[in-house]
Amino acid sequence: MIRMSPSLSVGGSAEEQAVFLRQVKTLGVNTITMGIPAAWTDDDIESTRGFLDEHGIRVGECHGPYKPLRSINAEEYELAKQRFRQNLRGARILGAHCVSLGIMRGFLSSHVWSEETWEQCITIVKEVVRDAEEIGVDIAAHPHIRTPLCSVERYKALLEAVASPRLKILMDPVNLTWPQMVYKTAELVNHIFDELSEFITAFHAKDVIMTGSGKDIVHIDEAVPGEGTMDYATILRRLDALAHDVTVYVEHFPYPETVAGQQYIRSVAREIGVTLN
Amino acid sequence: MILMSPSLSIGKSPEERAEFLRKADILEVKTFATSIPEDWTDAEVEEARKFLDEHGMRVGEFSRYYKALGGYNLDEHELALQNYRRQLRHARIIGASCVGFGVLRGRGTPHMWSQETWEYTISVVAELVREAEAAGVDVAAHPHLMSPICSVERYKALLEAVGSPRLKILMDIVNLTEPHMVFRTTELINKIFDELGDAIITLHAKDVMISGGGKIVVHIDEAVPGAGFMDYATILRRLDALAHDVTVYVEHFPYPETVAGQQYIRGVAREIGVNLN
Repeated sequence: MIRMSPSLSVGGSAEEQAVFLRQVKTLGVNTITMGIPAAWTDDDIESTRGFLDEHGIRVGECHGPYKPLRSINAEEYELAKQRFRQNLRGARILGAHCVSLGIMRGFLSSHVWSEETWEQCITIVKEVVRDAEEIGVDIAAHPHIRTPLCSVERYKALLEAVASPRLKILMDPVNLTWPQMVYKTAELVNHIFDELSEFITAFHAKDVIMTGSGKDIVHIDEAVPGEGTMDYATILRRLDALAHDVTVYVEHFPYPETVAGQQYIRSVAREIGVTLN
Repeated sequence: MILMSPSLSIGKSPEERAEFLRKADILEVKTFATSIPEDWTDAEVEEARKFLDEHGMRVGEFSRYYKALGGYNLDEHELALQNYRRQLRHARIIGASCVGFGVLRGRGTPHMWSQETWEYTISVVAELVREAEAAGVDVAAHPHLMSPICSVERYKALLEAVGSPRLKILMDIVNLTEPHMVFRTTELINKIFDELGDAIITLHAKDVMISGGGKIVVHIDEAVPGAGFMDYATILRRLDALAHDVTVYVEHFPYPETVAGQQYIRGVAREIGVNLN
């Protein structure tokens, strides 16, 4: 089942929760993406779980605080792992579908795509996945061209090297769209699903545009679903063919654009006969 | 010989000519890139040539790009061709080393890199080269990732298909830098010169930056020489090894940045023992 899963803030006060419920209703969802504030105690998390259960709402993707894991400072790295572990426990309490993990060692440096950096990333993921296995929550690795996890091939290598049923994929085709594929997104999407589909447990939904001329060499940017070249019909068909649930999160846009992007996806689904939740 | 060749405007009035000479002096150049307004007569161009000869100045790249060349509007293409015809005539009068051109057919559309667009581009270039042969002036093809002339392979195919000694290359390495090559510019430069060195008669000098992450997938942008990842030592060594003169034009920046960029290149040249004019 494809579960639309926008990012919403549950809040703590009655007013905040009323807004949350109104947004859930507007978006027509019963799965959400959320983060767990570092300051929340287990009681806070359990209270949130209670509230969500009461309203029949599930947590899909739970944001993982993964950026600090890129640190090469041993002390900072240990602290980052602790924080991530804490987040995994919180996700377990919430009953989250998965916790997102970005792999950012070497980000912004010229070593970002080197073999050495990649080996380090595999080690980091192995360590984090051990915690995930112990706590009992799936981790979903999130890609980006500008990080070591930048291709289908890198994903395959990661899955093979780590070899854990707790390691899944948070697929983001836009983040993997190198310039030559901008006008060949059906091919890209099919390549992704042909090689990785059994592991794809969550999905970031955006569109992709390419610009460039004169002084701009080439720019690949995000856009609201429906405003670029991403082939959503193929995406939805491939997601629909999976044997397991996948959460779909229209990410990075202000609320109105999130609604619009989600509505575009729903319309494509209706057109091709795919059911979304 | 490598001839630093910044863009300068010759002008007509005594004040404009004095300014031209002042800048040439600050930039320490005897060669420059320029274009001439469309309304100049042949006599005015001849007069400008006389002025330049008196001051020992030469024109390197002589370029005003007519974007409609090879475009979908045939009338506009014809007009562009007429303009190039005039430009070639003036280039001959003024003694320019070449006339630069680009073909932008399909830019920003899925057809930009298609085989059909490519074959049309070849026919357009062949048409322009016939004009160049008639005028007795070289034309130099300028690349850009966001155009049909987007790779070393495309250049090789173009040179082979057109098969004219009047067709040369206006190399712009930054414009050919795909994201995965940003940290491998040495390799890119060597490939360019290994395959195309004989045909390169002019070079656009810039630097290259990459950005992206989070909401930006990837951006490749220009920068002032020295402010990015371009391996200028290798560029200069490879240019120096050519048997013919090459003009080098620091393009696209305001005047102070042009001076700074040129001085960076001169600094690298001194460091590696390459002579620049």
